[in-house]
Amino acid sequence: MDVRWIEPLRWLMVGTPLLAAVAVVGVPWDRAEPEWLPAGGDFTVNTAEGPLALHDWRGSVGLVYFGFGSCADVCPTSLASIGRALESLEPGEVEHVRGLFVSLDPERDSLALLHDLTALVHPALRGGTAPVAELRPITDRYGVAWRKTEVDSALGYVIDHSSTVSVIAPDGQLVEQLRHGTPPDAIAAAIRRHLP
Amino acid sequence: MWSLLSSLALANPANTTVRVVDPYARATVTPSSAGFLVLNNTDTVAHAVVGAASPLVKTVEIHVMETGADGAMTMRPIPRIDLAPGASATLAPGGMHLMLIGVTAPLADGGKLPLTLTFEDGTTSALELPVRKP
Repeated sequence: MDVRWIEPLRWLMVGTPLLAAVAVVGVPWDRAEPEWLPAGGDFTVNTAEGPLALHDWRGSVGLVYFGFGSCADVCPTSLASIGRALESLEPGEVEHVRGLFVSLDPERDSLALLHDLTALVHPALRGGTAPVAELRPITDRYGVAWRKTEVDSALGYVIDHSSTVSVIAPDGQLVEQLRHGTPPDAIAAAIRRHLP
Repeated sequence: MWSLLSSLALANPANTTVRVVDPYARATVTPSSAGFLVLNNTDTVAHAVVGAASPLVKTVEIHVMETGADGAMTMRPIPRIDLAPGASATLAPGGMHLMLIGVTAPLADGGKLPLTLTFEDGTTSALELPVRKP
């Protein structure tokens, strides 16, 4: 065998089990720091209490979740996990945390409904939305894939959407995105990593 | 009159072979919510759930969650849940659920949601789903 091929082959033999070991161990929930984070940044939505801009939160850790009001599975699951994470924090911690549920279905979700939906979960949580033309550049900056899809259902249409919790540092920077299914203790740990 | 009533009752005999385990509905203040349960077919023949209804909900459908190629989670209606002899099906968060569309009264934690499953052979299962916080 040509000697030039030996070194890469040795790497393949050593490297493949290493990669397999990483795949088996996986990335723990509380260290789900992706190699790449979208740009994030400031935005404003309408809420039942008036306009809410992320920059209003400066000095607090923010959690942002994009979903829709008729979402009966992944959104309530994610919001419930956020709620439990917030409940698990000390009073001195939770006063520095803000949460926002952004509806990608402004056509159907009233501000009153978004208020009620989030108030049920935790008092630190707000619900808001904006016209679709304003939502699209926001979700592009947050790496959220979504589309309105007609379905053969009494719902008429659903919103297919990424289900991630974006963590915003007190300086307004997007610092983590927690994948769908991240349990409450891992969400609380992510908050604590960035508390002022 | 009695024969009419008994024939109505006979029109929807109870399904005695598909066991429903741990049913519950999620508390909500919105018009939509979800019900979850486990179905165990103890029969020697196949069964299928083909519909569901509740007096407190305008429409109950069977939906399933999947993740698209771009990472977006999709919720889609499916027409039926097939249960082979001896098979089970789990309706749980992240998978299948009973989609409650047009809940006519808020589903409060600790309440009960009456719900009837209809099987392909015309039998039904009358359930009471405890309402729980997500």
